[in-house]
Amino acid sequence: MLKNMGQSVIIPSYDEAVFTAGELVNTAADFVLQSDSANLMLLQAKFSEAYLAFQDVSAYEFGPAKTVALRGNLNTYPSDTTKIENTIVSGIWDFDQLQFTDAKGLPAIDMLLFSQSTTETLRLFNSDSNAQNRKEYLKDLTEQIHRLLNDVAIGWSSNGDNYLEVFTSNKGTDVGSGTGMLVNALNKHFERFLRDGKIGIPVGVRSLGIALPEKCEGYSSGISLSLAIKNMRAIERMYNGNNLSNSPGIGLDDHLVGIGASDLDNSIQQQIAVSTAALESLSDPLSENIVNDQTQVEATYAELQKLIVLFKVDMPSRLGILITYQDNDGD
Amino acid sequence: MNKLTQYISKEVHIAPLVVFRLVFGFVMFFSVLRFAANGWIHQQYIEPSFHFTYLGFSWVKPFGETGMYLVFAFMALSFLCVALGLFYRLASISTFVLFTYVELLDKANYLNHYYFVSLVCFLLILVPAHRYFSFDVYRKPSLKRTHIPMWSIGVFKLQLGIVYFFAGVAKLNYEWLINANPLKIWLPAQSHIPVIGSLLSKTWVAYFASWFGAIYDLTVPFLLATKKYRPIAYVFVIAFHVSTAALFQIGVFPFVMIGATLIFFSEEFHIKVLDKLERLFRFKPIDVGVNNPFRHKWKKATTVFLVGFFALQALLPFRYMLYPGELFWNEEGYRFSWRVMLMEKAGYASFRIVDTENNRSWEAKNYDYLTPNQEKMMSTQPDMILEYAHFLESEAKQQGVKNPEVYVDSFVSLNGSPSTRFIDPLANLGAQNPSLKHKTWILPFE
Repeated sequence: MLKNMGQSVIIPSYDEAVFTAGELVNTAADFVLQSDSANLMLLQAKFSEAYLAFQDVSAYEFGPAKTVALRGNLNTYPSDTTKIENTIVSGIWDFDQLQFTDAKGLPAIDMLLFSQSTTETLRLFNSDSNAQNRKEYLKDLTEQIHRLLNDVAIGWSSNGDNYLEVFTSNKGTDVGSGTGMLVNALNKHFERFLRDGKIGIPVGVRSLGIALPEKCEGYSSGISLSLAIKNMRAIERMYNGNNLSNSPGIGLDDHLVGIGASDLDNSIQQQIAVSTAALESLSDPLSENIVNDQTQVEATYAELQKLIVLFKVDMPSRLGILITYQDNDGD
Repeated sequence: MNKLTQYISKEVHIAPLVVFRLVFGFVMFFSVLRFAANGWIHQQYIEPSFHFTYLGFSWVKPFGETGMYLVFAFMALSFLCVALGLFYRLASISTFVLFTYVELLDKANYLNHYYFVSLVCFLLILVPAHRYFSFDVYRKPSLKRTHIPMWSIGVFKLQLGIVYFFAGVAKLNYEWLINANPLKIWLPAQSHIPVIGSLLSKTWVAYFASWFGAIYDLTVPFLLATKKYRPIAYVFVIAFHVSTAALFQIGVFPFVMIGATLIFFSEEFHIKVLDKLERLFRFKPIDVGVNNPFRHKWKKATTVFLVGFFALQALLPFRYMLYPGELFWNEEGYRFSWRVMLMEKAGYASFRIVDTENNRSWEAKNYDYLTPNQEKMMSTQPDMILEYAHFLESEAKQQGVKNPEVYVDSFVSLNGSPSTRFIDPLANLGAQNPSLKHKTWILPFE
C-alpha cells in the first residue's frame, strides 16, 4: 500500500504541483514584463490551475512537506491585506521569515490579482507609484511557492533525498510508520483544513454562529468551492490509493478490506460520496452562497463531520494506529 | 490481629529489600531521564493550556516551564538517592510527593503503571530500605541493620501480587476470552515484526495470547511465592514482559516489573547479589561490631494501617459494580483497578455551545485547547467529556455569553465495533455536576 501511495499518488501529485507552479512563475514573469490585460488573464488562469494542483498535495504534510512547513507557507488564509500593502510600499520583505506567513503564498496572489477590478489591478501594476514594488512582490511570491514545492518533490524523489524509501520501509502502525503518518495526516488535514478551513470557519461554526464569508479560501478569485471539491477528491484518492487520473491502486480501503473490515470501507465510501455530493450542491463563489443560504452550507459541514467520525474513530481503531509516541497501557 | 502482627513482625534478612531499592530506584531514575529526553515534560505539562483533573484534586496545578523542569530534576535526583540509599527518608518522601503530584496534574496521562509507581514510592517511605548497603550507613554506621521485620519486604510482594492478580481478574470477560479482543486487533497491526510477524495475524495466536495472558496474570504471583516453581515462574515473567515491550508502546513498565519481581527470590539469592556488587564496586561493608536489633515501634498500628491499605486496593477494582451499565463503555469505576491493555477504544467528540439569549450556536475547536493525546482520552471517557464541557462553558461566559449551554456530538468505537453515539446529544452538559454518581447522560452500550 505504501509503495503505491508514494509512487503512484504522492510523487506524481507533487510533480504536477511543481509543474503548475513553474507555469505560474513563468506567466508572472511575463506579466511583470508586460502588465496588460491579456497577460493578466493568462496569469489568473495559471494561478487557478496552480491553486487547484496544490489541493492534491496539501494533505500530505509529513516528511519533506513538514520540513518546509509547506501548507502553512503556501496556503495561510485569509491574507492580511493591510500588511501586504504596507510591505509593498516599504519595498522590504523576506518571505522566509515567519512574520510574512499571512502576507504570502497562494492567498496573497489571490488578493493581488483578483481583489480589484481588472482596470484597477492593471493601474496598480503599471502607473501606481508602487507599481515596481508590486511587480517584484508578485514575482517573489510565485518563486517561493515554486521553490518550496520543488524542495518537497526532490525530498520524495529517488534522485533526491528519497523520502519514498523512508515512507515505505517504516512498517507498523506507530506515529512514525508510513501508515501512521498517512492516517494521522489525513485526519488532521480533513478535520482542520478541509472541514474547518474551507467550510466550517467561513460558515461561522467557530465564531458564535456568525458567518465570516471573507475567510473563504480563494475569496477574491471566487474559486473557493472548486478548491474544496478538488481537495475532497484528493482525500478520496488518499483513502482509495487512486492516482491523479483516478485509476485504482492499493490504498487504505484495501487495507481495511484485507483485515475483514469491508463494512467499514463501505460506510466510508458511502459517506465520501455523500460529502462530495453535498459540496457539489453548493455554488461558487462560496462566500456568496454562505451569505445567501447559510443553512445549506452548514448542512454540508454536517456531512463532512460524519466522515470525520469514520476517519478518526473507526479507521484508526480497526488498523491499530497510534496518535502519539506517549506510553500507553490500553485505552 | 495479634497473630497477624506477630507473623508480619518476624525478623528476616534485609537483602531482598535492598536489591529492590536499588533496582526500583535506578529504573525509575532512567525512566524520568527518558521522559525528559523524549520532550514529554514540555508536551504534557507545559504546552497544554487545559488539564483534566481528578475529582477533588482540581487544585493541583502545574508550575511554569522552569518550575516543571525543576520538579522533574528533583524527581530524578530523588530516585537516584533512593537507589543509593542516600538521605533515604527525605528522598523517598520526595519521590512519592513529586511523582504523585505530576500524575495528579492531568488525568489524560493516567497509566496503571504510574499508579503502581506512586504506590511503591509510598511503601518505600515506610520501610528501612537504607539500613544496609547504602550511603546512609556509610555516613552513619549505627544505622546499619541486617534484619528487619518481615512486612517491610512482604508489602512489596503483596503489592506486586495485587497488580498481577487483579490484571488477571480484569481479563476474565467475554470480549477478552471469547472474542480475543482487543488482541485480535492489536496483534495483526504488528505483523511487520521480523520472524514472528506472520504468526501475529493468525487468529489462533490472538486467542492463545489472550488466554495465556489471563492465566499468567492470575497465577504468577502464587508461583513466584513458592520455592519450587519460582525459577520457572520468573522465566515466564521475563518472556511475558519482554514480548509486551516488543509489541506495545508501554515504556519502561515491563522492565520495572522484571526488576521488581526479583523480590520474590530467597534471602540467600539477594545476599549473593549484594556480595557480588560489593566486590564489583569495592564497596567495603561496614562492621559495626554488634548487630543492633531493629527496634520495631508501633507494631499494632502498622498492622492495622497495612490491612486497611491493601483492603482498599482489593476493593477499588470492584467499585464498578455500584454502577449500572457496561463498564468498558461507561468507564465508571475503571481507573485504579489494574485494567491494563484491556480494550481498543476510540472516539470523537464535537462540542456545540448554544447562546440561548441570542439563539445562536457554534462549535469548539478541540485542537485549540487540547493536545492530540488529551483529545483522544477525552473523547472516550465521560468524566473528561464533562470536565471539558464545563471548561467550554466558562470560556463562553468569558466571551460574554450569559447563559451558554454545552452539548456534545460524540461517537465511540469499542474493540473495533462501528462507532455509535456515546453521549445524549440533548443533555446540556453545562448543567451536569461532576460527581461519583452514575452519569445518566451516557447512552447505553448496544
